[in-house]
Amino acid sequence: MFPRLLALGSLNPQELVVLIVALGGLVPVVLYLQETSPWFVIAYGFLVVGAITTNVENLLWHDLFNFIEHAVGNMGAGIAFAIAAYKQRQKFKETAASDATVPEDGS
Amino acid sequence: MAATLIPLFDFIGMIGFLVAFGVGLHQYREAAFEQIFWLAFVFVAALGVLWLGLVTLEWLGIQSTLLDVFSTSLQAVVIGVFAIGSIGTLALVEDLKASHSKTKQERQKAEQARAHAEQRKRELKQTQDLLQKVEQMADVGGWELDCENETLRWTDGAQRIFEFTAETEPDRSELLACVHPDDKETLRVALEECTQEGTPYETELRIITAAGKERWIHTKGEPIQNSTPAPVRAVIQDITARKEREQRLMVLNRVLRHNLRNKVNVIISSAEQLERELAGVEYPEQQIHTEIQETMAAIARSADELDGDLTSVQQFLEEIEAFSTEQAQDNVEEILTTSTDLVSLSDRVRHFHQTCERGTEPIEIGPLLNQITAEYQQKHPHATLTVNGAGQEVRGNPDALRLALGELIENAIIHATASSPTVDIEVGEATEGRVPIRVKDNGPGMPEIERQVLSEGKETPLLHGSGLGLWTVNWVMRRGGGNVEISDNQPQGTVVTLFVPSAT
Repeated sequence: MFPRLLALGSLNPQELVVLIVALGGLVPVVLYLQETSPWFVIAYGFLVVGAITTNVENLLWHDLFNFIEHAVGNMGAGIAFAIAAYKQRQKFKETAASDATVPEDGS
Repeated sequence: MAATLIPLFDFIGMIGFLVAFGVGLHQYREAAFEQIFWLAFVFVAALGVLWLGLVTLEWLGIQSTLLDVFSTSLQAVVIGVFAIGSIGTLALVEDLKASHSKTKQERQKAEQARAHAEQRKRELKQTQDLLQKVEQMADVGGWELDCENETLRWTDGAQRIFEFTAETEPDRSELLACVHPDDKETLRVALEECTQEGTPYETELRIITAAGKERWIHTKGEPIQNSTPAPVRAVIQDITARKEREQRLMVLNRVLRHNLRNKVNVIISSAEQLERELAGVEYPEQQIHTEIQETMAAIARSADELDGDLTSVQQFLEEIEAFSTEQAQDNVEEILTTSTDLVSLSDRVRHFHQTCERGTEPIEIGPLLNQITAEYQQKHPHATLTVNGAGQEVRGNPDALRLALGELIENAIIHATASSPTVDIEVGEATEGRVPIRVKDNGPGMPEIERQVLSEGKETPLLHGSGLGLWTVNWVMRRGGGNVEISDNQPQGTVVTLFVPSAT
């Protein structure tokens, strides 16, 4: 069932770098999880999924993971990124508006 | 089927990045301090567009190893920059925004605090103005004594009552120095008990203002804290006018109760004696005429009756002889003298009140003294009046000064025991803004009781003066900002010194 599972030589070094970068990038994402908009985390999550699946597809179930890579990783990341941009824009606007009307006591 | 959708997925992803790029670019132009985030965001979005664009091209059949390597590298760059650049800067911007917002809030708080402080300052100024007006209107003031460093804090009203300048910052010892020597101990003890034992005090005492005027104040003090020594807060009220009114009322009461009653008693007594003397005699002339006519008629009627009628005539003549015309004249003179005294007393009271109405003005003391002495010299030619050193100019009420000097000269002459009384008037050099005018006589000296009531400022049924003169002098001098001192003349007599404010 897993004839290619142990064939690590089939892994693409470049794609492996992508995975390492993606996993390394989780550090700032986790660190700033509270301050970061959820849609950025989701978008990054999609990119991580893409990075994982692009490596996994070389080991097993190429078509499935390839599909997941492009459907979830690439498309999902693009859409989530667009939504994150929109949401972040809205958030900045709301913050700016609330800053302009600070209550009397300054709280 | 699934494989055919893959380029579509990549294309949609590229469009997503493209939309994000557009939004990011727009926001970058409008953003303030979050520009760094949008810059990183736009950069990531541009890389994303490029990456997925290349991936789409690969799936559309444009394949090469270089393209594959490039797109994979771009994927790594996009992920890396996204994680570090975009999310990192987002966190940074959030921190910056929070900090900015906090700073802004603090600034606004500071603005509000400043506005609040300004408002309080205005309210405080209004309260101070109101306090000042109230103090002026009510003649009151206040001070706080801090016993730790012996400093005093005065209100404007207190400064006005003590006649200190705004720059003066008197301490405890200077406060006590302003108190009249006779009342100094009272205040010292009251302050001591208040600071050490927390006992409030309330008393009336005299002060000598910085300008040298004597004033009566009513003061009430209490400790501010429960500490030892406790700081003291006191309110003071200028009651000089009230005290003067009380004195006048007291003296006039005495005049009505004592002097007037005595004089009226004299009149009544003289009148009663006259009445008794007159009661023994029925109107003699008319009666004698009648009796003589009747007697002459009786002679004509009957010689027998002659003897008895002559006896009757003799009785009337004896009664006439017993009636003392001189005694009756003495009584009438006594009535006239006493009545004249009463009228004079009344005139003096009226004159005093009229005199007090006039304000103060610069007066050349020389001509005024010459005028007064000439007037009294003419009135009492047997007296010797002299004036020395009258080159000063004073400020006062000329009528009041004339009244005061007149009273003193008149008293000196009236009460003199020598056949030729002398009154010397000396004008001294001005000291501390006051010109001394000394009225010296060679009389028997002023009774101690007169000096005592004037010094204590009050009379009692047992301790009172004999008239209005000395009180009048005291009142008119105080009203004009001066005061009176009495001492013995050498070898005999009295020196009454009037301290009149100098005109300069």
